[in-house]
Order: sequence, then structure tokens, then C-alpha cells
Amino acid sequence: MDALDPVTLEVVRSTLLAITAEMKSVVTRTAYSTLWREAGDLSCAILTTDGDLVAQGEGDIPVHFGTMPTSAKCCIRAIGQEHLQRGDILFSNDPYSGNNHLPDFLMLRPVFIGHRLFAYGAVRGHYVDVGGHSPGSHSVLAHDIYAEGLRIPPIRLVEAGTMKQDIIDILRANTRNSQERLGDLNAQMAGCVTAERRLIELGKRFGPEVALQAMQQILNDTELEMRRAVSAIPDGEYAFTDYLDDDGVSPQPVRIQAVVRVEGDEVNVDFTGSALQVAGAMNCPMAVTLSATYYALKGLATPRSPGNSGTYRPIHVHAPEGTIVNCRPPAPVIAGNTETANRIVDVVLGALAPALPERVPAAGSGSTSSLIIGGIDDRPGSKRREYIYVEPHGSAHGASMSHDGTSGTRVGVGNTGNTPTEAIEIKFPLRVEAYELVPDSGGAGRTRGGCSIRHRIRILAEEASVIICGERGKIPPYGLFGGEAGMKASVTLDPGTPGERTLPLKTDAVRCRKGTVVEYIAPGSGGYGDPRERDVKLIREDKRDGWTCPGKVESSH
Amino acid sequence: MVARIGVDVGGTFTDVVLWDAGSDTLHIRKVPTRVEDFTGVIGEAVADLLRSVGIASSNVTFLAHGTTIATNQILERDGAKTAVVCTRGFRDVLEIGRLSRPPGYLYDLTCHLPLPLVPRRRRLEISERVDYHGAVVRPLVEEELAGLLDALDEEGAESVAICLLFSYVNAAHEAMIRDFIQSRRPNLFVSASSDIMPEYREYERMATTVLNAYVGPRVARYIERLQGRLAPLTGGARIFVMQSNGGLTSPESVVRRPVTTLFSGPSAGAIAGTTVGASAGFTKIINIDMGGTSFDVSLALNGELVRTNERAIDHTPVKVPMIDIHTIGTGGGSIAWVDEADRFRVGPRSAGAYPGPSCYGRGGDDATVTDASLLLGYLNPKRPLGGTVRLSPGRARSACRRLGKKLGIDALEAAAGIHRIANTAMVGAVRAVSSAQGHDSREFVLVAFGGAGPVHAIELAHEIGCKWVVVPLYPGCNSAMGLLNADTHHDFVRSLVSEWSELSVGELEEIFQHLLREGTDALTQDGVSQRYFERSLDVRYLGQDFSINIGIDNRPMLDDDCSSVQTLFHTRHEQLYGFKNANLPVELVNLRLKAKGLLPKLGLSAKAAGPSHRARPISRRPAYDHRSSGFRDAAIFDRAQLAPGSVIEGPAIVEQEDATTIVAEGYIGVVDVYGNLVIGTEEWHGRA
Repeated sequence: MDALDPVTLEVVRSTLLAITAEMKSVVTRTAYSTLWREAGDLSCAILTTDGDLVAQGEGDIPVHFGTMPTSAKCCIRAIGQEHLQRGDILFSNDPYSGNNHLPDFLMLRPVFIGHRLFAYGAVRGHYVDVGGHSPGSHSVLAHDIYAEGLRIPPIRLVEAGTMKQDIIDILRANTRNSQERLGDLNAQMAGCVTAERRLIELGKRFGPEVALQAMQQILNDTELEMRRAVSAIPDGEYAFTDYLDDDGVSPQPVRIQAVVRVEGDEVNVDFTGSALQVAGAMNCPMAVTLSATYYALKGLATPRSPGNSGTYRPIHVHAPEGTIVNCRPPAPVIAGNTETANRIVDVVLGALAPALPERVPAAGSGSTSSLIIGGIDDRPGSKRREYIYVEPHGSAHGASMSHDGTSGTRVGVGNTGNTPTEAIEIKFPLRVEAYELVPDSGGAGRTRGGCSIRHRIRILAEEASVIICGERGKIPPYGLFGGEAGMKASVTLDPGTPGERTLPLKTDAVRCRKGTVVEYIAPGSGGYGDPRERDVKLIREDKRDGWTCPGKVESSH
Repeated sequence: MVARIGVDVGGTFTDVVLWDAGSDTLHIRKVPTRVEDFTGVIGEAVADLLRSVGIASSNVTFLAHGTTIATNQILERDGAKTAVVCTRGFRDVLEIGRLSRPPGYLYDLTCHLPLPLVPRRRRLEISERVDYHGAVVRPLVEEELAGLLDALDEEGAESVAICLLFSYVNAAHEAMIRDFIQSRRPNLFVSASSDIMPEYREYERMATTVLNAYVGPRVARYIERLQGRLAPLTGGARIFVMQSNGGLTSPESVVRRPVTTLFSGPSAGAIAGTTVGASAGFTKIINIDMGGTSFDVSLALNGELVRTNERAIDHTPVKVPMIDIHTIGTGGGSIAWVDEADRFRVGPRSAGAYPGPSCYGRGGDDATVTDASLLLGYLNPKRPLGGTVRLSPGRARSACRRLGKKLGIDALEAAAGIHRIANTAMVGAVRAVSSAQGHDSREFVLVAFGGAGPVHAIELAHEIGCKWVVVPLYPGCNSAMGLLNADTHHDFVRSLVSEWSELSVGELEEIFQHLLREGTDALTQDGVSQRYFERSLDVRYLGQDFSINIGIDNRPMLDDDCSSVQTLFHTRHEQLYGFKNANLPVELVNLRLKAKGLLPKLGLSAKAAGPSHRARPISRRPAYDHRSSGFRDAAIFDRAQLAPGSVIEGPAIVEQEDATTIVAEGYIGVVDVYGNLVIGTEEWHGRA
């Protein structure tokens, strides 16, 4: 077959990216939940007939990037490609079938041109609740996957255009606020249908043969780009170890270790030596470990260009089965995706810091730092409705060779946003007393780490359950090349009062009374380089801006 | 004899349009913008045009202005030294924003985002608290006010943005601070969020208020200079300024709320495009505006432009009602390049006006979209662009040859490729405002303007399935034309987030009466007597975050209105999103009022419909045809020689001073009674 001309190739490539953008608009416009409409916790992609990711939306969630193909391939294998029909939608959230964790549902639409399978449109979205024993389905203390909520193996949700109502009934019976879930599910389907319509147009415009060839070529080009970037990394073997604080069940730190071997244009990442899988829900299914590893390496090698399956062809990951980075069923996994995945990023980046000192930053917060408050809204006029408030806090970027870390911004594999204070107080029986950055939470250094967030919330209802899922409370985010570590995270009830009490960062449904203040201080981030080398002018500026408190600066400089 | 003038200042050119009502004729002037002296150029151009047309300044009754003065300050970060005053515990809201990284930064491990416009040292806190009902939880600690003044003095602040939590329900504390500062430091520019945007969500409100205070002092000085410059030329005629909502406003209101003018020029273009589309008889319109650095798309249904309440500039949200204009960085100056994986890319980097495309001969040597247009035969090398810039085909060819060499193709293939790739990006932008929002683009007409819009319009129309393209009489001066076709327009909003069943009609009516007073004041300031008010409510299902705007009659609300609004909401929800749930509780979010002052429009009357006749070409030259990938001999027409009834058969090119229109093979263009060039496929014409 003749090679495609560069123009056709670029037109197909940018059209595929535009399709993912249009899918996302359609889903967010028609979605029901805040998490989808406002925080955008969903990703849209186009996959080849082999289940390889060929285009994913530009602003989509990085941790969904690696799991799109793994979960799609599991779906295709389970149903059997030969049994797929026009109008089908495949559906699954099973972490042991290539998905992230139970709240993340994949919908996959096979697209046919004539009788021939042409491509897949895929939408992955985070459902606010999928059942399990606490609101928000986010309990780290669930002792197995059955306790984490409803698990859907790869199935056909829609068969040849006909929705299987029984499955909807099961979803409705097993999730909290099910109205919202079903609203989102409709939106997700609308995204799949958009993908189908546009892909068929694309196929007809260029001819399916040319379009299919272009998709393969796009993967090859991206692979080439990645290989060139990897070649520029000095060859060598780089090792690094970092730890999770604990698994929430027992107090021991959980080891994550990687040896990164760069050889020519390939990278091998070997997680041998990492801890065995744990009792708490910090485990990563293999797909999540892949996603996190790809994120770190793509961030180092080709941060600006849209990624696809070609990006990770030069990357080989070995994670022994039965460990924290490749768990066996029925290990619980909810926080593998939100916490452990970020530690994997820290480890892979940390390993390559000596090889790429100008690109690798000191550790960021390395944690989603979720706070969930749930209960009954007993304010007058609110009719005693059930509510679930979910908030991410992980928030500071580590310092890099050239810049101080960015403060108060998501870091790592997740990217959902916050809830405005004014929205929180209207919707929930809560009052926010502070939402601010914490001075000195960024480690000192020639460049300093970004500062993290302090969130103080007072409970106004008679009673509420507080659920916490965070990290970096014992082992702080590391500094690099002489930079200091960032501040550790903490959660405190009624700080500054006689009743002050610290909560573990993995806390399952603590009951709190009216008037209780919950204060989440998210982990800071590491500094870079020797603090004594910091420009005196910058030290003065930091003081003026209140990023450093008097006293503290002098001691570290 | 009465003359009305529109002046639009862009980055490259300043356009002046003068309508002489006596003779019902339009005069246009296009002069290069001088960034260091915007008002000087405006003064010279207006004076020059009046002189050449022979109109006395006393006959000028109206002058409207589109400006980028506020936008430039943000993009160039050279606005005022601004301070923020906020509720204690929330000084970093401006920096944290919505916590997430913007697209394009997700894999950027250092994530070096632009810093907020106000550094932390100038973000000041005050002890006070109001709850979501507006009840005072903690009275403002007045003893702290003096300390605020000290801090403002110490930091040398030039402007202040005040944004307290829940000030949209209870503005008393913000007013106390505002009045205190204003009475003691009368030279400071002070904006209170409850005056600028009394709508819920503190980050967006704070960011918008900060933008206002940031650009305020310089906008005030600019407006003063402009008025001084124009007063002797326009005989004291009213001056108006275009806002992002597509409505004009008085200079006084711009000085108070400059944040409403951030997208002034593009909005005027959208207004003009919509007028043009409607005059040609279309009800569903997609406006495309392609200039040197960007491509703007907007959409109008039944003559009404689709609006939005939020847009970002340099990663900062601007939350004021405005025309929903989707912008991408594809323009005539967009640079074609080969990336790390040998892929053929176009933009988003632009050669801008300086040095500009290679063919400008000002030192640029990258191949751009304009270079490609020249090489493909679309632009006439003998006709200087905008009357001033000479184009060099030799330079365009060598730039495309250099690019092609890296890709293994020849110069011509490279040029055609640049067009196809740029067109793909523009098609994506059109889809983003049409099909991605649930509209079928095939039902729309494409109104194409901006210097480069009519070059690409037919190809875009072909790809998105539009049957018609309309090119206005002066496509390159469209924004200036829009200034003569707008009304004054002010938007007022008040958030009242409450479950519908808890609301009383009296409470709503009281707020509407307040908004009506504000609206009346603004229109009085505009000096317009014909007034028009529109009431609407933003409503949503309880628990949702996105609301739907429901229009209601402008009359005192009745008890029945509550149930009819709910019914309308359910119906509208189903239309928009495909589902409704009449059992779910419904919630009110905002009350909105549009206040419009009707102004006389550009009164161009329809010319007599001339007999249909084949226009006579002035010359012929080969031009590239994308469908057949080869050159066709195209007939060249001079737009000035076309009259109503003139028919042009593709392949053809219509040239005029401010733009070039391509009529591809298989298309026919007809000049309508307003001078618009209406282009459709032969097939359609045959059936019509």
C-alpha cells in the first residue's frame, strides 16, 4: 500500500481529535451530575478495530488514558468481535477487566461502515456513587471489591440499538441518587452516538481504506515521536523507592519501587520489589499502573502532543502479580486510582531525576486528598434530603529547575476541579470557614515547592458522616537535589479547641455532630536545589507575599 | 444631511465606516493601526474621511466604537496595580481558581501557569461573613478598614476589586468597604463585585471584578482621550462603545464596567453578520470571521445571536453576558510547520501583522495561510492587501517550497495542504458551536467576513454541509459595519438560589423592580428614548449546576407565573437535553433583565432589483480547485462593478480592497438587492 500523503494524514488526525472534543461537549451538555457538567470527570476517545487508542480529548483525565485500550480490549474479547452488531454499546466498570475502579464506567460503541467494523467510540465517566457501604463509594476500608459497590463485567448495555432495561433497573437499585446516575448514563450514550456519526462521515469522505490506513499511520507517527524523545534520555538504569503512608488497615508504610531502564529508544519499568497487595483499598489493578507509568513518561518525553497507543509502544512495564501495583481479585482498589497511581508517578519521575534534572520536578502533593461529607440535610425547607459532598484537595506542584512549584492546582493523574464555597453552602448544610493556601507548605529550595490548600468546613446539620481518603500524612512529598520535602497532610476536627482531634487520612465514616469543624490540610510539595542558593530577592518577595512565615525562612536559608 | 460613523480598531487595521443618510451611501476607510497611538489614528481617519466625503462635523449625529484596549491590557499584562479585598480566609481563591489544570497543561509536569493578575501581597482580607440567605453571620469589623487603607497605600495600589462571599444576596458589607475607600482615596478605581456581577460562584465573580479593576484606570484614560480627540470632529455627537454582549453603551458606563468590552470588536462583527444573513432572507446563521491571527465563529437563530455568560481570557473567567463567540488561532498569518514526528501542522503560532506572512516581504520567512492563498491563485499579487501591503508571490513560493521539502512534497502541494489543514481546524470550530450544541449545521447559512473569511468560506460550507454562503458588501470592514447596526444593550443579573416552592412572587417582583431601575438609569445615561426590557429567569433541577434561561413577559409577575415557568422549564429541558422529569424539584438561580435602547440602524435601503445578468469579468487567472486537486481558469470580478442581479459562475474570484471571495467550480454567486453576494450550488439555483 502506498504511504499516505502528509496532508490527508494531518486532516484525519485533527478530525479525530475534533470528534473527541465534540463528544465531550455533547456529554457535558447533556449530563446530569455536577461532577460531569462542571468538574468534567470524564474522557472521550476513538479506538481502532484492535482496541488501540488513536485519539483522546485534549483536556481529558490522564488516568483514563492508559485504561481506555485495556478496558476496551477486555470488552471486545468478552463479547467477541465477531458478535458485535451495528447499534451495540458495550459497558463495564470492572477493575479486573482493564478499568480504573468501580466508579469509572466505560461505554464503547463499535462503528461499522457497511458490514465492516471501522473503529470504536468510547466514553469513560466517573459515577458519583456506585453503591457499596458508604456514600460516594470511596471507602478505603472496604475489605474487598464486593464491599466497594456494584461491579459490572464487560456486557452489552445496548444490543443492536435496543437498551437492556434490566441492566438499568439493576443500576437504579444499587446506586445512591440513582436519578443522577441515569441522567449521566444517557449523556454518555449520546457521546457514543456522536462518535459513530462523525466516524462514518470520516470513513465515507476518505474511503474506509484510507481512513484505516491513516489511523495506523497516526499510531506509528506518535510512536516515532515518542521513540525520538526517549532516545534523548541518557541510557542507563535508574531506581527509586517511595512509600504510601499505610493502607488504612495496618500502620506500616507500603513500598513502591521501580527500576527504569532506558535503552536507546525504549524504556523498561520494573516494579519488582514493590509491596504485596494490601488489605485496604490502595491496590492498583494493572491498567492503573500502566496509566500512571505512561503519564509520567509522556510528561517527560512528549508533554505537548496528543497521546495515543503509539505513545506507549516503546514503554514496557513489568509489575509482578499479587503486588500493590498489579493486584489480584478480589482485592479492593478504590484508592489505587486516586492515591497509589500518583505515588507511581512520583516513583517513575524520581527515578529519572538524575537523568533529566531539567525536566523532573520535585514531588507534587501526590494525592487526590478526597473529603466526603454525607448525611441528611435538615435545614428548614430542605425536606431532609440525603446529600453527598465530595471534594478533591490535592493541590501543589513540586519545584523544578527553572520555576517555583504552582500552588493550589491539581497535579498528577487526576484533574477534577473544586466546588465553589457559595455552591457548597447553598447545596449542603455546611459552612466554609477558610479555603486558602498554606504558607511554608512548599519545601524550601533554590526554587520552592508550590503551596497546598487548607479547607475548613463547619458542619451545620445535626449529624454527618465524614469520610477521608488521602495520603502523604506520614511520608512527605520529596524534595530534589538538596530541596526540602513538602509539608505533610493532616485532617483535624475542631482545631484550636480543647476537643481538637486528628483523624487518620484513611477514615471511614466518622460521625460528627453539629458545629464540628473539619480542617483538611492537603500535602504540600517538594523544593528543588539547595535553599541557600535561593535568590535573596525571591526570598524577600516570598515574605512579602506571605508564602513563607518569618522565622522559618531564616532557619532554612 | 446626517452622517453616522462606525470605528473599529483591530491589531492590524483601523476601519472607519461612514453612512451618509442624505445620499444613502456608505464610505469606508482602512488605515494601519498604530499601537502606540490608537486615538490619533482614529482622529486622523475620521477627519480624513469627513473631508473627502465633504460632510461637516456638525452633521455627524452618531459615532460608535469597537476597541481592544481592555483585552490588550490583559494579554500583555500591563494593566493597573490592582488590590483585592475579600472575606477573611479566602484571599487565595483568585489563585486556586477551580483547582483543575486547563487543557494543554495536563502533561506539563512543571505546570507553569500564568500567575494571577493580583499577587498575594495585594490580596487583603477583612473579618466579616454573610450566609447564603444574606443573613449576617459576622458583622464587618469596621476597625479593620483603616488597616486596609494603609495596606493599599503601602502597596501603591491603583485600583481595588472588592469581592466578599455571598455579596450577591447582601451587598451591604461590600458597599461599606467601597464607600469607605472611595471617600478617603477618591483617585483609586474601585469595583465591588455586587456592582459588576451579582451572581453566585465566588471565584468567577472575583476574577471578573479583578479584570474590571485591572483594566479600569487605563480604559478611563483612553475614553477621555478619545472623547477629546473626537469632540471637534463630530460636533458633540453621542459616542457609543461596543460591548461583548453585542450592544452599545455610553462612555460613562464603559469607564465603570470596562470588563463588558473585552470582546468588543468580534461582537460587532457578529452583529453585522447576523444583519447581513437576515437581510439575505436566512433565519439560521453561522458567522465566520477570519482575520490575520484568529477565526471567530458565532451562531444566530431567528436573528438572535446565541449568548453565553462565561468565557475565559488568558485562563481567567469573564462572567458577564456576551455573544458566544468561539475563537481558534487560525488566521491568514497562521504558520505552517513540521513537528517532532514529521507531521504537517498549521498554527497556532501566527506571524501576525509584523513581520507577517512571507509574502508581505517584511522579514517573515515561514509559510503561512496567506502565502498559500497567494500561491493557489486566490489573492491577486497586483492588488495590495488593504490597499497598502504588496504581496510577493516569489517569497510565498520559496516559503512553501522550504516547507514542502521537509515533507517530501512540492511547493504547490504544500500550499494546498496548508489550506486543507487550516480548513479542518476551522470546520472543528464551526462544529463546536453548531453540532456540538445540538444544531444541524446543514440548516444554516454561512456568513463569511474578515479579510480572509471569504477565501475559505466555500470549502468550509462544503465540509459542514451548508448550502449557502453570504459575503457582505464590505467583508473586511464588517465589525465597523456592525457598529452602525446595534442597539444599546445592558444586562443585569441578581442571583437568588432557592427551591421554587420556597419562593414568593412578591420577592421576585421586588428584585425585578430593582433591576428595572438600574436598567432605566443606564438607558437614560445612553440618552436613548425608545426603550425595551426583557425579563428572564435561570432555572434548573435541584442539584444540577447548569441552568436554562426562561424568558418571561415584562410585566408585574402574577401567582400563575410560577407554575407556567416550571412547565416551560420542563419542556425546554426536554428540547435541549432529550429528557425531563416533572417530579423533580425545580430551583431558581438568577433573575435577569436585558435593557435595550433602540437606535436608528444603518438605513441602507434595498436597491432596485436589477435584471439577472452575467457579470463581466475584468480578467482571468488560474486558481486552485480543492475538489479536483488542480488549477482551473477562474474569471476575476471586481466587486465594485457588481450590481444587484449580477450573476457569477464558479470558478471565479471576486476582488475588492478589503477582501477576496472565492467562488469554486459548481457554485453560483448572485448579488442581492442589499449588495450581498449570495453563493450557492448550481444544483440549488436550478431548483429555486
